Amino acid sequence: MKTPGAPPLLDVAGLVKTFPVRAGLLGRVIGRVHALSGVDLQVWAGETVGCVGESGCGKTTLGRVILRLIEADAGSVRFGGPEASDVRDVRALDEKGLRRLRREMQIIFQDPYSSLNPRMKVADLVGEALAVHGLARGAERQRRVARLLARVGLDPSCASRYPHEFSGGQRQRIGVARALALEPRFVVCDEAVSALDASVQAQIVNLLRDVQEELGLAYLFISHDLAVVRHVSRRVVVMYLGEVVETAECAALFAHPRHPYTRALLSAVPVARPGERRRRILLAGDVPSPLRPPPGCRFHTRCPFVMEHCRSVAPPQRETGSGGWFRCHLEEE
Amino acid sequence: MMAAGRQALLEVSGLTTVIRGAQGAVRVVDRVSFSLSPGETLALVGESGCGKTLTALSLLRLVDPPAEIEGGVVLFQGRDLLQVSARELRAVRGKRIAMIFQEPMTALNPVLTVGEQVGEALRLHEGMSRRQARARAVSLFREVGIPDPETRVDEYPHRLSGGMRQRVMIAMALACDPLLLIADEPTTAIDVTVQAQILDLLRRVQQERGMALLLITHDLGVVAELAQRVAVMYAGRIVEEALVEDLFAAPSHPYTRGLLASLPAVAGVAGRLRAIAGSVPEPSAFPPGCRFHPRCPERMERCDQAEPAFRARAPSGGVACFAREAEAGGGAA
Repeated sequence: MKTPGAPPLLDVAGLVKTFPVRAGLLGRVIGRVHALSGVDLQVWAGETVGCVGESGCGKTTLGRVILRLIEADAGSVRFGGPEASDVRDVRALDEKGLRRLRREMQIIFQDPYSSLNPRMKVADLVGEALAVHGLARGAERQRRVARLLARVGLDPSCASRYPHEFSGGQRQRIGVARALALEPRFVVCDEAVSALDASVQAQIVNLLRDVQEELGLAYLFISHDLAVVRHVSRRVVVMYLGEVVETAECAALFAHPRHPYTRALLSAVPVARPGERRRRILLAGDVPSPLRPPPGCRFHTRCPFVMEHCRSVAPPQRETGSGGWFRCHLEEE
Repeated sequence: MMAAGRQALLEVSGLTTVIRGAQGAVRVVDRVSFSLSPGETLALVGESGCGKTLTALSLLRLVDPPAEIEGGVVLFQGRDLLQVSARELRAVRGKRIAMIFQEPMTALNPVLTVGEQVGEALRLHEGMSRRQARARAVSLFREVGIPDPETRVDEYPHRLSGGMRQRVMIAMALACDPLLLIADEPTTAIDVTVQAQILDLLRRVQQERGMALLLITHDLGVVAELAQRVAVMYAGRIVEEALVEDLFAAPSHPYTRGLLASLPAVAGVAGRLRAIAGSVPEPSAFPPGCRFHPRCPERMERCDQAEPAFRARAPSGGVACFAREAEAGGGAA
C-alpha cells in the first residue's frame, strides 16, 4: 500500500506475538495462543486505517503491541517522522523514550464504563496526562481541561463530577478528551464506538472525525463493525487468525473484495435494506482456535474455494492494481 | 394493529411493567400493545434501556422485583397469560412459547451435557423416556446444523463454540414444537460470519415449522433481514409500528427517522453521520409528555406536556407523534 511522497508515520513489519497458556500448580506452559503471526501495517499522517476481523483475529493485540502496552515477540514497529531523525524504533525505546512516545500515541478503549477510574473526577481523568508529563499545572491545567471538555462537546462544569454520573456516550467523550490531552499524532481506537447505541455512536464517530481534521490525527480504527469502518476509513486491513489476509483502499475493498474471507465477511453483514437478497457466502463452522491455527492457509478450514495445496502451503501475497494486496492461492477468475 | 383477516396468535394490549424504587414506580414498559399472527415475524426494536427485553419477559411473567407487571392483557391463543394459574403458565412456557437469549453460555447449565438439557424439556412436557429424549435431541441437533450430532449431545457447554451453543439453544427452544419463539438479541454476542449462519437457521426453521417469531434486537440490519413487521420502542413505549418495507422506506416517527439516518451505511461515505442529539434517558429521568421530545428536531409546543396517542394507520401499523398528527390535518382525532 503506497501513498506517494512522505514515509509512513507508523510502519509495522513482521510483528509476532504469542501468549503462553499455562495449566496446573506449577503453571507449566501447555500451549501458545498465536495472536499475531507476522503482521505488516503502515499508517500515514492524518489518515484513518480500519482494522477488521472477528474475535481471535489479533486486532486488539495489534493495537496494544504498537503502543507497547504489551511487548511483541518479534518484528519491528517504527514511528515518527517525517524527518528521518525523528523516526524511532518503538520496540527498542527505554523508559524515557517510551514516555515521550506516549505523548504522540494514545488509545481509546471500547468500554467507557471500565476504562475510566471511578474514583477520579473528570478534571483529574482528563488532566492526568498533563500532570504526569509535567506539561501544565494549577490554573493552566484547569484551563486546558476546560478547553478539552468543550472540544469533545461536554460542559466544562463536568470537570468536578465523577464518571458514573455520565451516560455511555458522554463517558466515551471523556475517553476522547483524555486521549487528546497530549495532542497526539496517532490514536488507536479499539472498538471505540462498539458499545454505544446507534444514535449515540453516530455522535462519537462525528466527533472523532472533527478532531482528526482539526489536529491532523491518524487513527488505527479497530472494529468488528464493518459499516462503521467503511464510513471512517481511507484504507482497511482485514485480519484472520493473527494474519493480515487483505489490505486495500476502503472503497476498493468494499466494492471488490479479493480474499475469500473478505468476501464472506462483507456478504455476512446484515444490511438495513429489507427485501434485498444478496448472494451470501455462508462459511462453514467457526473461527478455529488461535491455539492451534491450521497449517497452510489459515482460512482453509472454512474456505468455500479450498484446494489441495491450501492445506499445507502458505499462500503468496498478490498485489492488486490499486496498491493493495491479498494472500490467496486462488488464480484470478 | 391486528393483522387484518387473520386470527392473532398473540395479542398484547396495554402491557405495563413498573420498577419500584425510592422515587416511586417508573413505567419501564408503558401500555405496550401489539399482535402477532401464526407464522409471522415481528421485530421489537430499540436501543438499550428502551424496555424491549422487559416486554418479552413480561409476556411470560418472568420479571422479578423490583420490576413488577402492573397491568395489561397478554392473550395467547385466546387465554390471558397474565391471569392463568402458575401451573397453566408452566405448560405454556418452554412448550408453546419458547425463548432464546443473547448469551448462550449463561443460559446453559454448565454441569449438564447439552443433550440432557435439550432432553429435559421433552421429558417434562412430552413425558418422554431418557432414551427417547436423547434420540430426539440428536435429530434436533441435526435440524439446527450441528455437525456430528450423536457425539455432540454428550458434550458439556464449555466444549462448544459460541455459534454452536446458540444452535444448542435453538434446538432446545424447538424441542416441544413451539408456536411462538421469542428471540432476544439472538446474534448480538456472535461474530458476523457466524451470525449469518444463525440468521439463516432461524429463517429456515421458522418457515419449515410455520412458527411465529418475536425478534428483539437493536440491530436494524437484522430487522431488515428477518422481520415482516416492526415495532419501534423508545423509553418504554412503542412509538411506531409498520411493515418492514414501509418502515425503512418512509419512517414516520422522528425517532425512527433519526435512528435510520444515524446508520453509517445510509449516509454518504464521506459525509458526517446524522446523529440524534442527546442520549437515551434513564428510566428515573423519563421526561414528561412525549418521552422523545428533548431530543426531537420536530418538537412542538405541547410535546413536553401531553403524551401523543398511538394512531393506527391503514393498512397496518401506526405512530404516536403530534407532528405527524398535525400533518395529517390539524389533529384528526
